[in-house]
Amino acid sequence: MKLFDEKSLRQELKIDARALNIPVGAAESFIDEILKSVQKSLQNKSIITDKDLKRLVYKELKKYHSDLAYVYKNRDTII
Amino acid sequence: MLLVELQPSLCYNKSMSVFISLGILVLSMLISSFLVLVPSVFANFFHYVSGKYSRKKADDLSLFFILGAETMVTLILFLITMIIWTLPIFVINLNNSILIWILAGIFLALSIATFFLYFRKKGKLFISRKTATKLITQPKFIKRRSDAFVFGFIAHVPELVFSLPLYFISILAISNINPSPLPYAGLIMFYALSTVCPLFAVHAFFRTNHNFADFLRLRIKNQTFFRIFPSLLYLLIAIILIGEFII
Repeated sequence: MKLFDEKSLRQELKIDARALNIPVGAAESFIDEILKSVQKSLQNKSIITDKDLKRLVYKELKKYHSDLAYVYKNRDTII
Repeated sequence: MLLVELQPSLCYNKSMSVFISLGILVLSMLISSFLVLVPSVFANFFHYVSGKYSRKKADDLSLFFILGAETMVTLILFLITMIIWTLPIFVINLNNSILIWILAGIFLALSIATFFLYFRKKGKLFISRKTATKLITQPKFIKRRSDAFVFGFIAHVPELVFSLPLYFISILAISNINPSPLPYAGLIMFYALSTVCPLFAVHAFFRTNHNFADFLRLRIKNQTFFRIFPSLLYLLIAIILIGEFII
């Protein structure tokens, strides 16, 4: 069991966004929105599985950038 | 795999033709370029470093990754060559019938293994989850050229079960094509270079307005092809080896 690390998730998404040539300002703005939504969903829960958290972030990411959402969801299927 | 020379009656005396050896070499090159583990690791690595660093540094690190991969292949080829050349009491060439049968068996097994085991569910490769996670997360710790070089070097290791027999038979085929040292070394270098061509192709793919999402889609969409095509090529090598012996 580990604590939800918002900082590392934000950093990871920023790196992915930059690699996908998403403008930095736009990426930071929608990553903020996504993390706010995720935090909101987590308020009622004391514990969540990695899979559920990933699904939650993916669902939010999909609203803003399909490629970023796809990379986030499928990265570990590549190997 | 070292075999002691057997009595002439048990050995296959007819020399394998240069044409057949060339065919085996070409097939081996083709299979090497369709093995997806190292290109996938490289794609993940390149995606990460181009998101974290400038374009110039990303290109620099990826060049060192490719150099690491190339060094690994060259080292393995060199070791195989040394084994074949420095142990004259052992018969390790394509005219040894026992060796041919063993190689044919290995390639047949590889054909079956590639067909059934190379990809698991949802496009994941044959390696364990722990190894896969390490390969996926390792780019986070890469800052220097030496790190990228070492990562490129070790990225080959999990796939050696599929690539080592190819390197072995390629060296045997090359020694059958041209036994004189200088062209022999040239052919080995050419073969070693051909194994890293997919990495240059992945780099070019990323530099032509494609991104990691496109790479992932392509990889997932074509996983059946990447499973069946190398499997057929392994089978073809096995058939050639058996056929050459029977005919």
